[in-house]
Amino acid sequence: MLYTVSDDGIYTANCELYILDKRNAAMHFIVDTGASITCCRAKELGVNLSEDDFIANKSNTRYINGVLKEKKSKKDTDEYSILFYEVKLQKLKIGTSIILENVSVWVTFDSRFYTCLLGQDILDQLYYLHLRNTKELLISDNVADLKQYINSV
Amino acid sequence: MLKMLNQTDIKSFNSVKKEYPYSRILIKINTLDDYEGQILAVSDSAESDDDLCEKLHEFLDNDILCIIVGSYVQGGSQNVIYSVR
Repeated sequence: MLYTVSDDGIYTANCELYILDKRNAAMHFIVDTGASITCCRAKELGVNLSEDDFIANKSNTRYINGVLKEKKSKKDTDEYSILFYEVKLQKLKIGTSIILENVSVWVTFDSRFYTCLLGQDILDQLYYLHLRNTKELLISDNVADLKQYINSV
Repeated sequence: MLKMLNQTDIKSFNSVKKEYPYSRILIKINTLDDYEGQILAVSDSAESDDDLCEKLHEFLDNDILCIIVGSYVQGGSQNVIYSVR
């Protein structure tokens, strides 16, 4: 199904996140093709999430940098790195019409990070098209919808 | 500081972010396709963000769909970690 996202300079998408059958959170994601992972604050996904639990469960981790990196420093010792833990989702609902199953979101307890980013890990599973004239980003989970839309304009 | 506003008028996300810069704002929406809604609460600093997240989940648990827009830092040295690569 087709889902359009209007541009105010930044493309965004409202999503619902389901770890199991119950909706755990709703978030306003920024579509970021430059972000390798889809990520957010841990507390925004769940107020009871505890970093100790992720450590005890030996959850998968990623250290990610933004624009700045320390010279010749490994990511886990770079002061500009943010540590993320993987949370596996049963379902991610993007808008009212796109549902992805068995995807991951990465959460951080780092107090420097307050953004929800829809990264390339999720975007790779979708089709998206930018329309210069209307400044919209069209996102779909199937190419037929995009083709139908293009043929209609 | 967290402020509960419980406004009833509908505002676009863009206007809300301009009205409350450098803040994260909890907004009630009707569907995930909405880009406007009613302001429920505003957190003007990182110190109250956990409280804002608690409110988000309280409303969701009561079947009130809401999301958080905005960010605390829009410039300065801390903005270098705005997006990850």
